[in-house]
Amino acid sequence: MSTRIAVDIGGTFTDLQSLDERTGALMSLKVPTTPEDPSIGLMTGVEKLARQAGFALADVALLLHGTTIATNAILERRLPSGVVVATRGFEDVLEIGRHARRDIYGLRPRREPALIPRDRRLGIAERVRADGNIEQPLDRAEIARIVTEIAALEAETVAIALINAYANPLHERQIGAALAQAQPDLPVSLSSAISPEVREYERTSTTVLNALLVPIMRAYLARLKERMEAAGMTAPLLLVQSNSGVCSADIAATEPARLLLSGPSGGALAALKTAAAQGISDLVGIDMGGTSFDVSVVHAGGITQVMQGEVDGLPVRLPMVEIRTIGAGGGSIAGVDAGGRLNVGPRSAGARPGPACYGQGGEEPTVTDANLVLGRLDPAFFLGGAMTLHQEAARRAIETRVGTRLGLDLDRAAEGMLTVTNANLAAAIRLSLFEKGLDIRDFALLSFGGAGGLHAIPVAEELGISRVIFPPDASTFSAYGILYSDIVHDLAWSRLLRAGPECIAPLAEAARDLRMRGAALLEQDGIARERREMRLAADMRYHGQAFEIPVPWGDVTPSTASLPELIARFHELHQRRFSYANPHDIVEIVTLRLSAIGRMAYRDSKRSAFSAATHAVESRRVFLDGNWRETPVYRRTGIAGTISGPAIVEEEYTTILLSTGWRLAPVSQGALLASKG
Amino acid sequence: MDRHPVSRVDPVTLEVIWTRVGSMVDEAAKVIARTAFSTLSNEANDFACVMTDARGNSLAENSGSIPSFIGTLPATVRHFISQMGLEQMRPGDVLVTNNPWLGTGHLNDVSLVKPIFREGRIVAFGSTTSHMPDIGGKIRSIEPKEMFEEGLHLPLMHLMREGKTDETLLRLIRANVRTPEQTVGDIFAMVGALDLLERRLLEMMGDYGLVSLEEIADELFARAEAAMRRAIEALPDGVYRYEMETDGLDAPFHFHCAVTVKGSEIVVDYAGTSPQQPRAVNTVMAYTFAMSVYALKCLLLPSLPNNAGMFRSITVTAPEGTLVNPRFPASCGGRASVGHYLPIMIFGALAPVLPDRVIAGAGSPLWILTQTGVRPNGMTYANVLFFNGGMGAMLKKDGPSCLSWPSNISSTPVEVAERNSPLFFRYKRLRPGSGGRGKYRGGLGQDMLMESESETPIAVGFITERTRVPAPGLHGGAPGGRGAVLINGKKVDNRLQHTLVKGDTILMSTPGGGGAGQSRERPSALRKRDRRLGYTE
Repeated sequence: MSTRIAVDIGGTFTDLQSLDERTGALMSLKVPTTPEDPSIGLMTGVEKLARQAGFALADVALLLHGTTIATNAILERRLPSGVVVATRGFEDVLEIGRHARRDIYGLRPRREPALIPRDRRLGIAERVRADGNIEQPLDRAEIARIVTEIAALEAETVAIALINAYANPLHERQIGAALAQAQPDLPVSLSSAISPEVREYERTSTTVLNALLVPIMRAYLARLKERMEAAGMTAPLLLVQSNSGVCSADIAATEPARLLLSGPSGGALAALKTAAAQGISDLVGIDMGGTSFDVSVVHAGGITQVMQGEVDGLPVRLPMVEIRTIGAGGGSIAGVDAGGRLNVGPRSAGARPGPACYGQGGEEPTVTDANLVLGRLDPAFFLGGAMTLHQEAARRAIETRVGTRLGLDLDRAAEGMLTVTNANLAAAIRLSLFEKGLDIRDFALLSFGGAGGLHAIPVAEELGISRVIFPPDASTFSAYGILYSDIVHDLAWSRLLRAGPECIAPLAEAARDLRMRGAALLEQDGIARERREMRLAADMRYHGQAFEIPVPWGDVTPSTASLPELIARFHELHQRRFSYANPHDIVEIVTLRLSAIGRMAYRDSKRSAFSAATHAVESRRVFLDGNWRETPVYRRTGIAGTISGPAIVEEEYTTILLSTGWRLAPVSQGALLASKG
Repeated sequence: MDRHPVSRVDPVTLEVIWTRVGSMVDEAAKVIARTAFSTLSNEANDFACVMTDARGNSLAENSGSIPSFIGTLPATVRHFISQMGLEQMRPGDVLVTNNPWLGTGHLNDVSLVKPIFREGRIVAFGSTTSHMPDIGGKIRSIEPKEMFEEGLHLPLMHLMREGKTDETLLRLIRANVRTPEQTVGDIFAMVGALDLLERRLLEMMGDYGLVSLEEIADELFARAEAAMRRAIEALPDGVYRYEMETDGLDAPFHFHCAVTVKGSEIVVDYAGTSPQQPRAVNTVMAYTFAMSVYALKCLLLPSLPNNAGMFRSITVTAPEGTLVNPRFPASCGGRASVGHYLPIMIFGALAPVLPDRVIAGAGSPLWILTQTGVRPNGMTYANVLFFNGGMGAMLKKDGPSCLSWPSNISSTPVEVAERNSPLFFRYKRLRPGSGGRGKYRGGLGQDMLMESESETPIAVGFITERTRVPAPGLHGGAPGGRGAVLINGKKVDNRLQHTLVKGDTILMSTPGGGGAGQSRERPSALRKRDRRLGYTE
């Protein structure tokens, strides 16, 4: 039992990495994703990995799994038929939403039908007040009526989201208990358990999403376990959550909303791991693939998180890795709009028809086409030579759709597309650091994802960043991060409190309760006491504000001694994020949070050494700095010492552009570090 | 970073610079959204940030902001330029006004403008406006007869001189509003946003070695102007008219709008519209302009980013002394209750030539409920809640229910409202049958019943429209359902301020959107669905 496997399933590829816990040896590979049942591709990959690395499936100690199955089910609206129970009079919360439009000038605001239609939203006579007191008790007859109605509607899953239930879960629990008795197999999601926070629409939306995903996740996990057993794998299975921690299959099956935005978790974890390995505390991870560009931030050795995100316009109120995503990738399409502006993205050619140079019928020019035309990509070595690119198609697309319309020759048009793309990427990075109050000059970039290598250094240049790290196996980098996951349970308790002596008693009681629940969950996970870590945090604001910021509190007990520290930290964070603080104003605590962490034992990986000598495999003409220049091309595996830009570095799934004035050298853990000057 | 100074405006540099300016205003908007104290700015999105060139021409606005502000802010900058003079401005100055005619159309919106200097010369203006939780005066309702009743009036003046805040002005503001901390807190959030705009712009100009923005701005404006002219040329020349009545006061208001399309130009004229009123419903010309060009942009060039060039081919006129161009000192606190009707008038006028782009009447204007009172502990408070009706249908699409249009104001969550105010909510639900019938149905309004739990009386004021004249249908569709305000189950005069004592209830029923197309053509499957889901009665 000595091999740990991490699997990250994306839309096109399933990425795997394995770690031999005795030797520290890493192995990685990619197999095609099988969308009809992703567990097929997963097992294909695992078996292939076992053959290549020489381990038996019975020897797998742990399978860590990142999946977008929950997200895809929502995006494609392949969902079971659910029922939502609401306080009578508030059945339409889910449909009414918050009234805001995204596109100010659009007259056709996109409004998908509510996730649960009006005739399956049941009102129940009860009412809890904002302070948690009960205004209208819930009587037994009413519960019985709802239980019968739910049975009559043949609900496959139920969400219960009552007004102010975050302040008092009693009624939700009563209904839940009655349902459990009447229909033991019926999945029931309580808003007070899934997302116990103020704001009824956000909480209802999160709970309904959760409820609708339970049957999907249950079925998927059952299929996967069956396949694992059939293959002789008895390893425990852990799933990646949006908060960058993992959870047991049981939690994933009952609280799948926690997985909804887990896509970026692996990359963020890998960035964290890389930052630690390279001794860098502040790092921006940029993940550029075919259609999107994700920015995550490691600051002071931790990943920044937010307390709310959204999927397909629907709010998900749960802690998650803070990511800024823009529609910019290799497949992003360039065009000239009615005002004569050159735009790149967010529209993407996707995998089909893909960029014009794929020769699959795409006629619109993409970022990949521009990179090809300018000699930055080798038409014969795309995906390690697995696909031949068509130069002529790329040229034609750029000339007709960009060049002639802007009066630019082919080279300038292609270069312009890349300049615009890099400006968009830089803007996204700038905005994501800005919103956290961080100074860009303190940061290094970490580039991963298939398309990032050609853009990372020009973007760093634009941002005034002087170090860029290129990790090994950039295309399975998320799986690498997942290998080093810890178990994380996020618990919350929401009540409006003034941060002063009077809040200590309720906070201390809430903290005690959260800790007990956290400890019980980690116990279930089989995490030994010495590997448990409890971290408190509080969402805080100045009196009168409507947004809170999460303030870490650490492993403390709320007390007259620890509270001033928390308040001071709030002022400090507020100052950093918003450039002012009012140390004399009243501070409020809205939510107390606990992360119960189960540290997993692992051994550091060992990377194979770099080759003995550096040699360029060839040179080719590349358009750089406004001219065509003969430029050396290296294989990544053939770099032993420092090389100077301009140069191109190729590997199987990605290509790095080393700009003029930059140097590139191998550093620890198989990474390459580019530095300016 | 060493880059060559821009000698000629190439399309790529232009795009890159515009992207940077756009991202600056978005960053600035973030500062306000996250630091503003009042629920208005941060939950309701009731603010905007605009960067202009040194002449006050809009370069870029924050995404997601409100149409009216986007139209009025650059004009405010130009008023400062022409009335104060560039020579009066120094680095570190922050200028302020809430004059309705020079600002956004009512005193509640405070606009701040900051001249941005580079090498001793003004190269741009950062500007922002935000709705204050309170500005003093009578609480927001349509009752005031003159602007003087509506609160504290700040003419064009300095809030900061060379980085130093005018403490006298701050004291004056604090003393005149019910929510001194929140109002001043919001103003400083705006100052933070302007500082950021200044820093970012100067960084960018440094990066590109730009001495001024004019050359780039002119190029951007010329392109936008050309695009709008092309879009207008595609319309057949002619004079397109639309008339309608709205709730009005004792008698309905009459609106008349003539849209003249000639070549690549459009003139919108509101001659024939009712005279200005001694009630706070008047819409100053700046707001009338903003709402008119907003409607035209929605129809003609919705996806092109905004700038000053886009509206050069559009002229908006209205006779002085009318509801849509009132003379000083008309009261205009409830300007939306006239202004939000204007886009629908333009749609109505252009419906014959753009039949599938326009929408039927929406259940707008925005509804507002203001409450003021004194808490048992003696502290004064003011609270505002927003409500929206259903959107109008268009050909091929039902109108969405409960959506903010033409504004973009989010509703406050019930749980937040219950925590912040002595109101208890009995229900909040869709209003069956309120969507206008048609081949495509109008969006539904909502019913919201609130009960006062305050031991002390609460004064409530309303701005509510379409309680008498419903949202019109389109292409044969039926009008939407009328809105209603009931106190203790009885219809009340929603033009007047009322006092609630403990146990009193208010029912706010927002209007539905108009339908589009003949109702008999509605597919039976959709009718059945509507009945099953209780959208229709």
